[in-house]
Amino acid sequence: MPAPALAVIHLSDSFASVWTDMAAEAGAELRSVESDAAPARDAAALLLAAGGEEQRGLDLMSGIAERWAVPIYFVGAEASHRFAVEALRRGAADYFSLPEDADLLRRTLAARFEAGRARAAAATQDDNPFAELMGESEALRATLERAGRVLRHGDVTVLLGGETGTGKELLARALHRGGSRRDGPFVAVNCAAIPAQLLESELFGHEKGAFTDAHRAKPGLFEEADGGTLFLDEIGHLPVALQGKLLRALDERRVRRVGATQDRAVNVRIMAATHVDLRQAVAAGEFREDLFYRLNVVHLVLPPLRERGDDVLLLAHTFAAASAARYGLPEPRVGTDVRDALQAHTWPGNVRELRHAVERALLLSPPGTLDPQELVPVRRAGPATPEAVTAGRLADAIRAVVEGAVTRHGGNKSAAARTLGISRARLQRILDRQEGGDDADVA
Amino acid sequence: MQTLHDPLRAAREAVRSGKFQDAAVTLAELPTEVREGAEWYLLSAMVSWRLGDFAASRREALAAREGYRARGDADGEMRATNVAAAGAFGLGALADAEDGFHAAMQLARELGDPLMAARCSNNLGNVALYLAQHDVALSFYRIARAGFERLGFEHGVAETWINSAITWRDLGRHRECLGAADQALDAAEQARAPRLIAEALANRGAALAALGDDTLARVQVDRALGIARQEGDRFAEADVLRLLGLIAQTRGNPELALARLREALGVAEALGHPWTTAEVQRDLARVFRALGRNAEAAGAFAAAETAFRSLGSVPRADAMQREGAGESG
Repeated sequence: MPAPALAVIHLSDSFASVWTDMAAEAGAELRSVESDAAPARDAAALLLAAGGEEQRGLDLMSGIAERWAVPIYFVGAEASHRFAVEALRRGAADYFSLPEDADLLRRTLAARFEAGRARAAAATQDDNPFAELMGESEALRATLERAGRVLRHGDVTVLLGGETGTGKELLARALHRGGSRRDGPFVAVNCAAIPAQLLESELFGHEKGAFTDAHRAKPGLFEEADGGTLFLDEIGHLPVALQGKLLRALDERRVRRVGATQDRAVNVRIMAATHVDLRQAVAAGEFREDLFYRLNVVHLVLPPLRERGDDVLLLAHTFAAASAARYGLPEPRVGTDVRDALQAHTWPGNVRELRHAVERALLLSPPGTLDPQELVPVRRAGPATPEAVTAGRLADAIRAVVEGAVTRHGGNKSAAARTLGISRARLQRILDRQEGGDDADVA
Repeated sequence: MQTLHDPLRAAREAVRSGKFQDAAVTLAELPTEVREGAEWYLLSAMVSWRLGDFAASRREALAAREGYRARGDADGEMRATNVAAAGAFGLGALADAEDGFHAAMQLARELGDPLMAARCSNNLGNVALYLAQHDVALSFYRIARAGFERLGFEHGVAETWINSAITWRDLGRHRECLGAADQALDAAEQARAPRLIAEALANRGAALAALGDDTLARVQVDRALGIARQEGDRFAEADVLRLLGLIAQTRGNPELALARLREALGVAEALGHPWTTAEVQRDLARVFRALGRNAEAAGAFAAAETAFRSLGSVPRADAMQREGAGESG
């Protein structure tokens, strides 16, 4: 891979001899470009060499900053506060005055190119299929280590556990991508989202005339996933009547369409996921024990976010940066208050909830900030956790939620009522403690 | 090396650059012997479809299909069958469209063309959605998505998620709609497709509004509208304006809702897009009814019914008739 380039726009010849050395020390190729040239694709940084031509450099700076997406280092000959401030204001990443700042510039360039190499090295480790499951916590690492071992064992059947929003489908996709079937299809289906009476046809297909609306034959998802992976999310919702048919498909690698008289051979790896305890479902007679053991060859459990320590901060940073880019907003500063709020909340909806919360806070906070009140709005307002509710404090919990909403709306009770989906009169009654309410509206 | 002369090259290039009117003129000026070929018919059918002349498109696509069939060109036959089905879809002949997309999908599978198979599956999902067969639609979108994902075709992945979001929204399953719209947004951003980003944001906005977060919904939909206008995508603009109308209604501002919906109707009618027109008329009717303006509500319900019927969407047309007569929708 060629070395990344250090691009230089020469507005003057001052110090021209030092750029070659600095680039070499940083492990970069030096590339001279014109001030109005298109950005060099392989450049990782740009020097605007304006020693003695500072004012001209400033005049050009904004236009250059608009075109170049890499850090721009403005290099002048004057240790002028005014020039430095103006250069930064117009988009420079830093201002250096030579010869005084030569060492500082040298170190800055070296660090910049070293960081780029590290990122490139990380990117070339594209064979890490778990890269999308971000986090450094012990809990997540342990699960991913086990998942890595699964990859070495080929097409083993995997049962994924974990609360809603912990990333079960992401992990299933990663296991598919890292396995031998990566060039085959990955077909995901949420068993809870399909009416029970349609699930059999959806999974196994049907022949023409098999039922009233079967105007033509249709392959099922097993056939669609042939050569790849079929991911059955919320497997606990699979009707008992279908569990036997699934078990047979797993054991015999053959499926029969609804209304068919012949089986069809399929070559499908099954991964299943559930957020409930299937052992309990087995004990309750709701899930076949033989199917449970057939699916549970390897059991991987994704930890809830509340057990992942500082991962919440890492993920919040990542989501904030991505959302800021999406909406063209400045990347927000994550201050102590935001960190405290992120860590104080239990995130019952896990990573999915965090992602939405961060995006919401970014959009509703002043630019460049994350308002902790917007980040975890309702739940921070009071003890509205299920535990609190079952402890017999429903009225208090509801009142706390309502108070929180009113606070967030700056005391505007009508707006708070609209957000909560209740009438203003009812909101007032709750605030006046005339009504404990039920849990339908706000809990 | 001598290159083969392609008399359709200029027309193909015009199609590739989205200059469909220019392509139509170029095609019409070609010599008769060229205009009798299956390639000419197929290209012309695609241009006619883009220009909204669905009857001509279907006619030309069927002629192309016969030409390809006669010389045993299964690949050409598959593509022509797909365009003919799209023409039928545009005409509201949903049964013909369904047959055509199925036939094209079958050919695609036989020929090992997963992209065409996925496209046909996505189209079959749209037919099912028009027929209010939501589960069937979701099933086809799921299959199409698996095909697009396998090919790394993010544009198609985003489309299937958007269509799934619309289907969930139609079912009143707003959490599922939000989840699908989230996925659509990720895929649309990967595909760097502004139109799809706008549509994904609009669906997110609609779901958030329905879930009670109208502040965030408004941000999403405003941004969607900005992108749609910036891109000159009037289909997306009409849909987003309609959603803004619904959000205004949710926020208790029926006058603003009416203004937004009328704006949306203007765009949809100017485009001659019956599906959006039907949806806007339906929403207008509901706002009128909520305001007690029953005569205007009845007119809008009737217009929605007519538009749905013209699309072959009989269940939806019947629902509008019932709602217009005062039965719950």
